[in-house]
Amino acid sequence: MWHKILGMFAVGVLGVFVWAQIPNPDTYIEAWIGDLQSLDPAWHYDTASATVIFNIYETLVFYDGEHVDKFVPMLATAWEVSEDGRVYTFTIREGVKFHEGGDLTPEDVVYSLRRAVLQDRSGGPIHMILEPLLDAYSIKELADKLGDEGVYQLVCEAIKLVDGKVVITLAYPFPPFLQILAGSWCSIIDMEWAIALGDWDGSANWRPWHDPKAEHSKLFNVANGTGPFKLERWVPGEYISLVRNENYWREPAKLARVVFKIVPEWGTRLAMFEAGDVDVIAVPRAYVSAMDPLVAAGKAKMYGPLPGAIAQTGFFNFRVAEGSPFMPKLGGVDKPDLLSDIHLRRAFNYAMDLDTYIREAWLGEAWPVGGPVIKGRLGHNPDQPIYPFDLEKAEQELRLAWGGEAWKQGFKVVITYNTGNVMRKFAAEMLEYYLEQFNEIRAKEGYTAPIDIEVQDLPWPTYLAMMDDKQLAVFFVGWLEDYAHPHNWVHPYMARTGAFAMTQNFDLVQDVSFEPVYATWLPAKTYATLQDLFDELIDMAKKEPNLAKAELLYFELNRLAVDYAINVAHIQLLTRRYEQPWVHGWYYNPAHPGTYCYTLWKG
Amino acid sequence: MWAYIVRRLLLLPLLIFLVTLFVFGMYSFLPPKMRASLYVQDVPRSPDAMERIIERYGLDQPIHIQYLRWMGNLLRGDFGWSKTAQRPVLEALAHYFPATLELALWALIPVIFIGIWLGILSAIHHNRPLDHATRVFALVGWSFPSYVYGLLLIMVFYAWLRWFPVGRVSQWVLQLEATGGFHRFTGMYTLDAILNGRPDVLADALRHLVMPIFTLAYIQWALLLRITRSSMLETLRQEYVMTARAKGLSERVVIYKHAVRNALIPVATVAGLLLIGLLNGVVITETIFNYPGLGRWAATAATQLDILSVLGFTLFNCGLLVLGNLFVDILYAVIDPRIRLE
Repeated sequence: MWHKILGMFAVGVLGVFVWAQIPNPDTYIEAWIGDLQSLDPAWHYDTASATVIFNIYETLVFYDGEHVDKFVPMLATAWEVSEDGRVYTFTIREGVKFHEGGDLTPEDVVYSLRRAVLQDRSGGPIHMILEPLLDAYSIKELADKLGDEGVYQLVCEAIKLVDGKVVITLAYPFPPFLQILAGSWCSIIDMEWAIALGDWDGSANWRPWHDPKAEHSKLFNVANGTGPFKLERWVPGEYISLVRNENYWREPAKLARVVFKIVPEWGTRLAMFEAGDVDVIAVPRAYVSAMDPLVAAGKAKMYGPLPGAIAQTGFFNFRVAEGSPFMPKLGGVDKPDLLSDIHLRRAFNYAMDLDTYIREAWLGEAWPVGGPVIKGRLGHNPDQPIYPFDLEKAEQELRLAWGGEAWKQGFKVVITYNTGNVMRKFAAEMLEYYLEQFNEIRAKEGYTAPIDIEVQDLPWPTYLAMMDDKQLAVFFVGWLEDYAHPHNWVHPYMARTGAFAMTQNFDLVQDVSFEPVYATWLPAKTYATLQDLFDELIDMAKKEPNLAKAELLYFELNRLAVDYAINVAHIQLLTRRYEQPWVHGWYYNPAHPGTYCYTLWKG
Repeated sequence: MWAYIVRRLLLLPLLIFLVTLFVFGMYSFLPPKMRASLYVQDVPRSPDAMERIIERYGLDQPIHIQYLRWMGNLLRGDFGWSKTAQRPVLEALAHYFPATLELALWALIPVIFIGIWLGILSAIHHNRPLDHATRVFALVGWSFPSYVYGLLLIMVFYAWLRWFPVGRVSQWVLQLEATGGFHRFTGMYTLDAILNGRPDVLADALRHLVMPIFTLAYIQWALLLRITRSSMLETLRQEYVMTARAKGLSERVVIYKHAVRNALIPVATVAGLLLIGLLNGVVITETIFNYPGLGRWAATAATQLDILSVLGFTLFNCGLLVLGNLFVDILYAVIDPRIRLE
């Protein structure tokens, strides 16, 4: 026995010096920075999970190639939208099998969507569906009003089966609803399989499955979709592997296996790429130059820069919450609403050298955007002017701020960013540098109390918590698009319940006169607050079925965002993809969370 | 000696209690919203997201309630859920520990044997070129950041030469495992390869271990070299060594039969502590070589404020340190009969 073991050991040691095998040409491997959070389609809300899920599961409709506003049938063969834009009727594809062998039925579709809505986990993606479907932000909010049974009835009425077709009735017309349905959170699961696992049984007793922790979801680490790949193994923190679905309803994928490996360290990822052990690696923007020699030598293919569905922006809080350590001051006295003055915000914008910021901090991989809506989306206005870097105009605006008092008495503003984000720090320090330069001119005029711009970093948890508490005065954050529609930009940036706008207190600007420039069919009107104006236009735009009119409404919103200078340094980031020369078939759709592997092959 | 061992073991629960109290105490400085933000990670996307998460995870409850609940679960064997490992904390420990143990045990062989050999070499060539050369060699390893050193190894031996890969095993082994062709009995690939009768897997696992082992060894050699060298120099000055030489024994016998045995007593203590240190997980080495062990997991958990993982890892470390130190004390008493544990 010992001889055998020693013999094997000797063979093993000798084998140490054997060269690596050639990677399997049927296996596609990506090296990621971080792990996924859950395989439950209704629970996940991160791009890593979404990438895995949209390769395993399928939705009713899917994005048509590179388009973000055109769809192809997937599990629905056809769909109709009622004239009023509220009722969507889907015909479900026949002959489709789930990975575990079950047949896809319209009941599965109804169950999947109802389950997602009723599960509605805290901080999850379902608010996107709830908004147009039930005109609410959470099931909990509805259950408080209607009770569990009432909510169940409401959901069953909104998503139901009629004559073998799936009918979804929205609370109001919402053109981007198809974009939401194409998202991985609306993936279709096998009802019998889920119930057998102990998930919700489809009855009015939904509460036990509502808002689960990740690990409590029955679908946390299992999967059974209809997609081109099946889950093979997930070893958290290490890798997840998928294998080809040989019974796929379309032609099976060319790749036999897909592996997503977790490799947090950049140098290690790069070495794995150079060694040919991975086909695609995540390349942080700061390390793009490390890939240039590989591209030049033909050892890597580069796509890009491509317009990303992500923006970086500075936000002004019009009224900082009492007790904040970052309370703005005017003449040395606390002034919570200091930034509600439009001249001050415009001065900040004129003092921002966007070209240098993009070149130095983002290595040229970004472009400035006028208003929230990014390039490539309906409603982006390429002619929308943005604030140029102009210190003369910045000075003029500063002299006007607070009736001249800001110039005379000086003021203090703290600009915050999250610790470690050097790009945001760059923007904050640029504003500090240029705005404090005016102290020299002011001193000559006899104004000695300084303009004091302080730059402060905060750990991410602190940063988020203080932002939510409205304690930050000026803060830099990014927004990653949920679905490819302008509503997903104007809502967070401008709506009362938007992720950023709700921390900015636009209500403080009152008696706002509105004169339409683009949406000329609208009457001139005075609104009680700036927030009321924004909300009304956002509401009109999201419900507008006529795309031409909707576009003009978004133009209007972009214009207002710039005119009122609600943000500073709003830029859209560009992105790149690096892959091995032997990888083929990839295409870019900014609405995809990651690589859609069905179209890929190696050779 | 038995009374000493029992007394030391009885201290363990008290130590664990104090450590958990300390970690929980630090945690209590974070307000609920900051802890809630760890669950959303990104900007909260719906107006009530933060409040719902605080309520869902009971983050607004007094810290002593949260602590007592956690302790109660602990006594029932439930260490909680590790957000960073995506599995229960106990399972995470059981999953990552074999990887770290495998690395530590393999690393210990070159660390101890080469470290001691270098120390002896240095001592017997005291103040001669070989002494200086070995000391410089070891000190370079000691002072070189393992991060840079590890990456250099990766670039040369992996990216360019493709001799030694990173990770634990190659893709084909993972596929073999996923398809049921390879069973993991112990979680240590080298041992499991032997148990499965797969020399090819053993070879692959060893290839993956070469660079992390060498990185760890090179860092530790300086320490062992210095201790062995000074202990050896002191021993060589002892009268019994001079007597042995005076008897006309060969230098080889004097050194390896008479001097080394006594010189290694303090080295044994250090070697024991080195093993404990390696078993705690070696964060940087595990991270750069993408070696999924305890160190990499604990570091990730700490940076993401995954408090249950941090607590679980801390408890595990406590036990390891107490038992490890106890083992070293006993070992010390066994190899040196002059020492009595009281």
